[in-house]
Amino acid sequence: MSQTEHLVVLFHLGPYRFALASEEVIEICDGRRDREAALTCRYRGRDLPFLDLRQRFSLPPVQGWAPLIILKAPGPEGALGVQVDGVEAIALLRADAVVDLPEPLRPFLGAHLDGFWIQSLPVEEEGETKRVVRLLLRGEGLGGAPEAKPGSPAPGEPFAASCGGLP
Amino acid sequence: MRHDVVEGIALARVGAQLVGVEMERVLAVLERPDLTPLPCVPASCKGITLWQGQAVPVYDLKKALYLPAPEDDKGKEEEVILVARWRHALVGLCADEVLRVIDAPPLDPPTFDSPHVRGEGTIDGKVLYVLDLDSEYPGLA
Repeated sequence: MSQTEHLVVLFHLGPYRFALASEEVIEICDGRRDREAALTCRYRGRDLPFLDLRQRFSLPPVQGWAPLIILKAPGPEGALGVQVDGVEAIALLRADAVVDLPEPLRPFLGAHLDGFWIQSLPVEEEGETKRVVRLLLRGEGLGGAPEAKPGSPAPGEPFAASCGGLP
Repeated sequence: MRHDVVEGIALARVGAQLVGVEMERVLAVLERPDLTPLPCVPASCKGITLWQGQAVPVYDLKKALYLPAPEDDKGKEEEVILVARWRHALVGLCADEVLRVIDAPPLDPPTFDSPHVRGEGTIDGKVLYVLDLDSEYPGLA
């Protein structure tokens, strides 16, 4: 793997497809967590802080079980549990396939996304490639304290507080 | 008082409305490109599309301009996207169709509160709203 390649964890949440640098990830749990459970999650005998990404991205709650990704995070526990709708794969991201956030979107997404990854996937039947746009998550935007920007939530503020309603 | 003249605008139909976009700012017209939805962006942003290797945010003109939406327009998907230069960025603007390029009629100040409408005029007996592509980006005005 060259310096311009990185491993990323691909997962989806509602209609959004994300990629997250693997160095931010401690473990993808085989075990699953009840979405209706408390605000902490049990991991290797410890209670970790827990983040429901559906809530963060203003998606309606759903019932049932969901995969849990354990991320590095500041604080005494050093880890954070993140619930997603589905983990798809671990893939190799080439830096030259990453495009920047467009300027009009930076105030809304700059604290949380590093950009977009244009993932090329082969289409077997047609012998061509299909391009899928992945939202490249900033790890510190989840577990850490992102720098406050206009239109973005302050650290600790629910992400939904800065979402929606604007034309 | 009439105060503004814009030469060379792309005339687009958005529902029952006519919207003018300065032709020198229009770079391409795309037919039904793939859109990638985004969380936590203004309601007028429908997502991003890829154009010449760049991620271009795509806006619903009705919502971005605060245009009234007639009942029979609701739920309809626009057919084309104009890629245009808005301030320093490329954006996509959803429309039902691009009609033609015209010299805009003399424009009056907008009759409603929209930070993105440069002025209003009349063409073909309909109201024309000319977009102000130097205004603040949608959701930030």
